[in-house]
Amino acid sequence: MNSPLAFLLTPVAKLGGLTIEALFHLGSYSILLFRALFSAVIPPWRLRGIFKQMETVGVDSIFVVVLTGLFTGGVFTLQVIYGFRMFSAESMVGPTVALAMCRELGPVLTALMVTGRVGSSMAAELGAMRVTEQIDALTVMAADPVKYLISPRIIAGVLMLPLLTAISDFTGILGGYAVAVAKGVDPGQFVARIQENVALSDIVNGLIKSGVFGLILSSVGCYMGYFTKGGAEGVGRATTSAVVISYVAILISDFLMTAIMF
Amino acid sequence: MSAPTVKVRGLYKSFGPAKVLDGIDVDLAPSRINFIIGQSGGGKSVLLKHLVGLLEPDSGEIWYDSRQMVGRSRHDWDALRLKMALLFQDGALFDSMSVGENVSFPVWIRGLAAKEEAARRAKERLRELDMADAFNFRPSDLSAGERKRVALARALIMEPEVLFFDEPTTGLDPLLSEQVDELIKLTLERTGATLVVVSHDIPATLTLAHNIAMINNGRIILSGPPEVFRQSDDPAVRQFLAGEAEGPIGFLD
Repeated sequence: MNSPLAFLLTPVAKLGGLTIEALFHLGSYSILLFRALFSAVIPPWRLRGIFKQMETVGVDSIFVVVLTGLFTGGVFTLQVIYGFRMFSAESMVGPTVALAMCRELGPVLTALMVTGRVGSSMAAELGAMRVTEQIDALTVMAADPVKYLISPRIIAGVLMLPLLTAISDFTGILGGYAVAVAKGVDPGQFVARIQENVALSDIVNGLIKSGVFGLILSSVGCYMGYFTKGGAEGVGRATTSAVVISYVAILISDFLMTAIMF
Repeated sequence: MSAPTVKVRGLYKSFGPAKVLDGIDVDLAPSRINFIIGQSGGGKSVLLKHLVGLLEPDSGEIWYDSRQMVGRSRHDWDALRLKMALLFQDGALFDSMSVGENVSFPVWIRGLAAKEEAARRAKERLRELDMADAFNFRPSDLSAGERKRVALARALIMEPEVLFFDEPTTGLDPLLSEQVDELIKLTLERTGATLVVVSHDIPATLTLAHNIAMINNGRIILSGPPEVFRQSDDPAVRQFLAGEAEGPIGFLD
């Protein structure tokens, strides 16, 4: 296209190209996710593989989740106390921290931490297997790579994220408690107000959200790794995209779910 | 099925605008060493991936004896793959597993034997290839030649009737290359399988092969026993055998 019109149409064509590419990825992602979920429910189940992934996703992430929870709850309390002092409402710090942790900060921060830790390594591991032909080798040996590699990772993501989030919720409130008490809030008041103002649904909805985040971060990590192209450089790209796309998807889906749930 | 005849008819494959396979016809003889040669990027590996079902052609047919495989389901391919093995260029050993687990993997993943029995068979295969000591090693602890032998042990454990080799000697030193060539000959003697070797190692091709097919620009330009190639007047064949840069095979087409 060398006409003057080409100059005007280039951005439109670019936008069209991007849209097609995005739809293409969304389509192949959906197919892969469906295949992974489908082969997760039909036997034989590879329990050993699932437990191994649960250890990687869950147990190995506990330390970083505890640290994140503790300090987030702490700093949140520090900031909130400053505001609440103006109204002499320090006793309401407890439920404020607890609600923030259970409904929002616990699920989201846990998901973001685990994405950085585990989602990226899923993409890197599967990507390395792809470029060294290990995934092709599985296929040629009549072992379905989706069932063998991806399903256990997604199951582990969906099961472990709520558990990690529960830990994060608890340590977050604990961190808030420590800071609040150090700042002169009555410990009894802190706990009693939480009991009065936090409903079970606040906690459960947060845990449901985190299950969805677990699905997102594991499936996106696997998708990016599984379709890696172009050697070591491709593995690097897959890892970066897995983290960035998971972050964005987690934050957007968090907004949508929160709008529906609460 | 005993060692099958593999026939390819009119195989076409394009990646975007690039025509990689442009009407391939080739016969791979049972219980023989069949070589597929040609320049790098000329479509050899793509053809190989079609033969094992990793790629789906745009059109054409692939026959294993009387079974046409193009367009078949994964289930049908998996049934065929029970008697098929591919030795990947770099071995494609699973680095999350030990050598022993790698070799026994094809057996236990299909639930064909208990883990102990699979391990016993793996040990036996490794012993035949002089790698018994490596049973508990990690693939990353091995040299390139050792990895190749472990990969061959893994390929042989299911007693395949068709065995594919993807550039088995590329990246190995001359001594190791010769060992791998010996292994290929030995494999034929032991298994009587249909062997298909994709290679650009000319000396090995001319000494080992029973049949050779040469690919250039996505077509088979010549096929037959090594004598046919030695006597060929085709300039592209002559150029490739002599390993010269000047001639009809260009770098940029």
